[in-house]
Amino acid sequence: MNPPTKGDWAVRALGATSSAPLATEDNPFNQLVLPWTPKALRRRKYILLLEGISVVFEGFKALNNLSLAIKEGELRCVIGPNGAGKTTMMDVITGHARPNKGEAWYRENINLLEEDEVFINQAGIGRKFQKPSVFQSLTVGQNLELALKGKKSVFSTLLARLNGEEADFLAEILTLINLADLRARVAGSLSHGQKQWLEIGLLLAQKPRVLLLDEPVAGLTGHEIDRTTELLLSLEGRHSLIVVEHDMGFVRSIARTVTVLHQGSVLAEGDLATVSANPAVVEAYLGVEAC
Amino acid sequence: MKAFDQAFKIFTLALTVATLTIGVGCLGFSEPLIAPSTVGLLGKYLSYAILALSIDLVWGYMGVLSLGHGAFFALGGYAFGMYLMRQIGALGVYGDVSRPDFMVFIGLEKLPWPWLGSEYFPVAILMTILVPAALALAFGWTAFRSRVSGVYFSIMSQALTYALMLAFYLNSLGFGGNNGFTDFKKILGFDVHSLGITVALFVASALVLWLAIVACRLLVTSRLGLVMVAIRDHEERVRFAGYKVENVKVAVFVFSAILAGLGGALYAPQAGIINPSLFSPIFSIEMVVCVALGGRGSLYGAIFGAFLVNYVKSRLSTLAPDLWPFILGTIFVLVTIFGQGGAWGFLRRGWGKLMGEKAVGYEPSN
Amino acid sequence: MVFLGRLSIASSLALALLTMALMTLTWSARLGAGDANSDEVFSAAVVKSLISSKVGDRDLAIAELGRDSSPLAGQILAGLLKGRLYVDRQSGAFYWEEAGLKLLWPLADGPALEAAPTNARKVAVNNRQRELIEGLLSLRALFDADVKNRRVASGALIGAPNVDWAVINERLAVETDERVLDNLKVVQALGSLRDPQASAASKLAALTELERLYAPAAQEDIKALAIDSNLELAKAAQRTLRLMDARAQRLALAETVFFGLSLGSVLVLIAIGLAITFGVMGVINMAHGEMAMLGAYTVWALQSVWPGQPGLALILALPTAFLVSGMVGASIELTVIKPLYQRPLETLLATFGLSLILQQAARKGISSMNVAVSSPDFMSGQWAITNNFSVTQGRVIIIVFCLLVFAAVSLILRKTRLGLEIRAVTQNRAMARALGAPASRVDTLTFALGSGVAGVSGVALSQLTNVGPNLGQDYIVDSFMVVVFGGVGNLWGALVGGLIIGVANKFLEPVNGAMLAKITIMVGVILFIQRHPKGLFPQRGRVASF
Repeated sequence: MNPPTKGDWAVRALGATSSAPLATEDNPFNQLVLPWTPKALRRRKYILLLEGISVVFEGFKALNNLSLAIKEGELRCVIGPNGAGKTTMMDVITGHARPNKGEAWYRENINLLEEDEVFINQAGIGRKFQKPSVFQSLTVGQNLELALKGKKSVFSTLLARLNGEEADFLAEILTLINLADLRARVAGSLSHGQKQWLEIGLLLAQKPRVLLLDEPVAGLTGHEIDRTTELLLSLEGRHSLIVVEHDMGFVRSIARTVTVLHQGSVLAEGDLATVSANPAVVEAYLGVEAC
Repeated sequence: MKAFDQAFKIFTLALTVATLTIGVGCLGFSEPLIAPSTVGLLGKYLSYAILALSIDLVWGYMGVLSLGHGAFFALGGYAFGMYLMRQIGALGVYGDVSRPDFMVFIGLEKLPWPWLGSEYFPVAILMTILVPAALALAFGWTAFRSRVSGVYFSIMSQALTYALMLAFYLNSLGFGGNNGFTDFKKILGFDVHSLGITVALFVASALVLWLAIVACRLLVTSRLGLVMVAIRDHEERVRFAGYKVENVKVAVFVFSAILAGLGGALYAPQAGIINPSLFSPIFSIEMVVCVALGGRGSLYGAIFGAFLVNYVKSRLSTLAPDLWPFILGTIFVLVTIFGQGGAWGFLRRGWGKLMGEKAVGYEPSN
Repeated sequence: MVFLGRLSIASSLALALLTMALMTLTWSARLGAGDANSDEVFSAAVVKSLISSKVGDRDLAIAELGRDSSPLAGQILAGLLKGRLYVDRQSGAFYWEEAGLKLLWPLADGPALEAAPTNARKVAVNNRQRELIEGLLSLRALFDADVKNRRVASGALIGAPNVDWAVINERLAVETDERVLDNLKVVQALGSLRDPQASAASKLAALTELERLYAPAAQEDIKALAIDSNLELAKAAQRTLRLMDARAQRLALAETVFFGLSLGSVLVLIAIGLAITFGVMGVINMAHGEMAMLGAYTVWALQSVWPGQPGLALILALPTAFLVSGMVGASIELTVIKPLYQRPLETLLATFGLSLILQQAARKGISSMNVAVSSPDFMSGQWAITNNFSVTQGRVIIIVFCLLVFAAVSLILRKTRLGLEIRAVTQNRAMARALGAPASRVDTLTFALGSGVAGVSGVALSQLTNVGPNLGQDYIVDSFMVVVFGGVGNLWGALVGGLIIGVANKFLEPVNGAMLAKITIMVGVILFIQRHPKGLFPQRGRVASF
């Protein structure tokens, strides 16, 4: 657990979202709602739990009986060759794709398969796209402002004004993602790396509990990768992070636990040394490279 | 307030000066200095400008290209036109107080139910707002919820207005068929052709346009305005930022349809006629091109474009009517290929920071 | 007054009887003569009596001509009926009027005469004689060598009064064509129904026969029988009526489906071109309808070049229209669409501008009115599938043509190098370019192909609808609906979608009128798209968004 090095915004972010009451052994009343079945107990241990997920596109199995369990505050790296199903996995978690089989639970009582993208996002799962996706014609500050956690109905958005607390929060994020000087710049004019950071900033502004990052260092320079590494490590413990990445150097520098996907299911899981020694993993990677 | 920047002030000033000039020029002298027909024409342009504004709101800001916005304009016009038809009363050719002439002509014995209450002015205003809003809500809700977007939405909206056009051509619908409503005589009991009413209608149009600009400025400078632009740039990302994109789109679409309807209501008495041709896809697309020419994503640009295109159109339709389709077609092609930001963008670039309207120019999003 | 009325009734009755008698006389004579003498040529005496001053003589001459089975006799009768027959009183020569007078008899088909012989005058016939000739001619046609004429003649006999049973029986004995036989049997059955002397048993048999053969013309007679005092007969008649109703409904259904298919195939023809430009390339070409308009004008232009050969011009118009529209399409792609790729909404507006320009060019360059395009015989003929169900050949040809175009375009996309490149470029532009596909040229060719197909569809349209500046506009919204309904980027979608919309339209038309049918379809498609945004046949892929 790293101490909060970049101010206490992250603590507040965590505090603001994790206060939702969940059934615990100290809170017997919630037991009435959530029975103590083995399944429910298992869900309780993890913030995100995928079990036996299969997704089929036109006869092609994008995901095949995939299971994944993420604990609160964990930083998990997901690697795998192209077409292993990493992006589809994120689609399932965020409600963008519906699996043909399996279960997906968030915070023990939210069935991800029954909710839409917006609900899942509001419940605290943020996603960074593979291609840096920011709002090109808005400024950096406007990008962050509209991502801010809060009531997002049409009417309240119409009347929303930035209050002092929110302004401070935005300033913190801007510092953290290294864009404090560029607040008034139009996002479309940012460099590739700055767009990647801004997108991470968009996620942070939503104060999520789980962050899904799809290739956060793709196309970045060495220096930018170092900054991103620093940034992600500072988030560990306050948010659960799932990072999908190809850059093995980057994975090595941030990974605690690594999950290897191959052909839609988990091939290996464990710390990086164990995983990379796994003959099946070596074969999967070499097999692909040999093509 | 950031909604009311310098450009807004200049616009307000210009509109006030124009209104005062026309008011004084027409009524301040024993012999009007400005021809009433010119006032009527300018008033008609104002109503087009309101329609252009409403198109710009959904297209320029939110990236939703509606090729059927003319339908809302026409519905507003018809809703108000019904009131004007009822005002004719016994002054019609057949002198029938209970029904408009065309109903006598086609042998409709009783007023059809949609005409209920149409003789009351407040009801007419209410219907002017409600009917376009209801259609926009029904169409927008079903379209946006099933994520029909981009070109698909454009084609669907075009089909909508086309279907409505076919329907309004039917005599049996009870809205005058081919000829629509015309030969208006009175409004609120006053002669619709009198100088006072002509000027009053112009002033009303200017006022509605001004209020529309105020409302649109407030909207696009609010956080919802940011979300609208964000939807134009990257709809999926907005969803993953926690916004119900569908709801935003429907809300803005309905608001835009109401604006268009009000424009139509002002159009009917000033043009003196309302008929199904306003439902034709070409009218809607022409208005879209006004916006493109004026500069999408800029409210003043849309108004400017509406005035420019319609002025050129009415000049040419007297000078060289055969030439107009060629010129309009060429404008379409040139504006879309070369005219990023439109004429307004061009002017602004030249004018520099004098206007200082801080917003959201158009940028292609992939 | 009453007296006069009585007199006229009596006289007309007498005349009818006389006619009957004459016809019977001639035909009995004919029966006696048999077929051995089928090419007999009437004598000069007959001709003489034809211009005799006595009505009776003239009647007899006509009867004599009717008895004669030579084609010349038939031509003379027809000439009498149409008032085209002239006779030279002195020489007794017959002339046929057709672009001047032609010597017809005794020298058969003589050369055309520059001036009419001074003595020639029209051979006149009175109304009663005309009736007589008509009857004779239709009976003659029953023995015509051409089966088509026999079918028409036998069909005309159904429900006709004063049928000569002997002739019918004679023909029945030798006839081989199924349809002529069926018609004659209907005539017979109808005869027994009407015959007050016929037994109940023979009427029952007639009913069974009518039921089997389905003759809508007999409906009134069967209705009359359905309230007959003979209960058994009445019951049978009611049953026959019911069955005939059901049959009529099935036929009406078949007809509606056929009309729907023919309308649908027109939509499909236009939509195929759109499916290429819109579906495969993602380009909205609002000027697509004008490409079809160009094709239709090509037909008009070629027909003006060869006024005598509308059929040839139509067939030649197919490749010409493909080239014309294809080349216009290619130039549009090069000038307007290339700068606008990746910006579909702008393409839509720019091409709409082009459509305005093209329409106005047609209006100013040719005419703002519709131009006359003629249909060659093979397009306008009727094709009788059964005695009671016939379809316009042109519509059948267009349905078949639509399927051919569909097959050709699918083959081009699937089997040719161009097709391979088109698919490669659509699926992954950068990769296709890297692999050597000339993406820019492929775009141009694809667009030209789509426009060319539109031009070909215009050729088909020229046979069904008015050719004018508004032709494209009238179809563009519908054909966009077809593509969107069928599923963008899918030729099968265009085919199935177009046919469904066409058939649905024709089914709705009788219910609530053409205009409302169109509106209903539009609203239906709009609602369908809300439920299934990707249409009937969605394109494959992980993310299909526009």
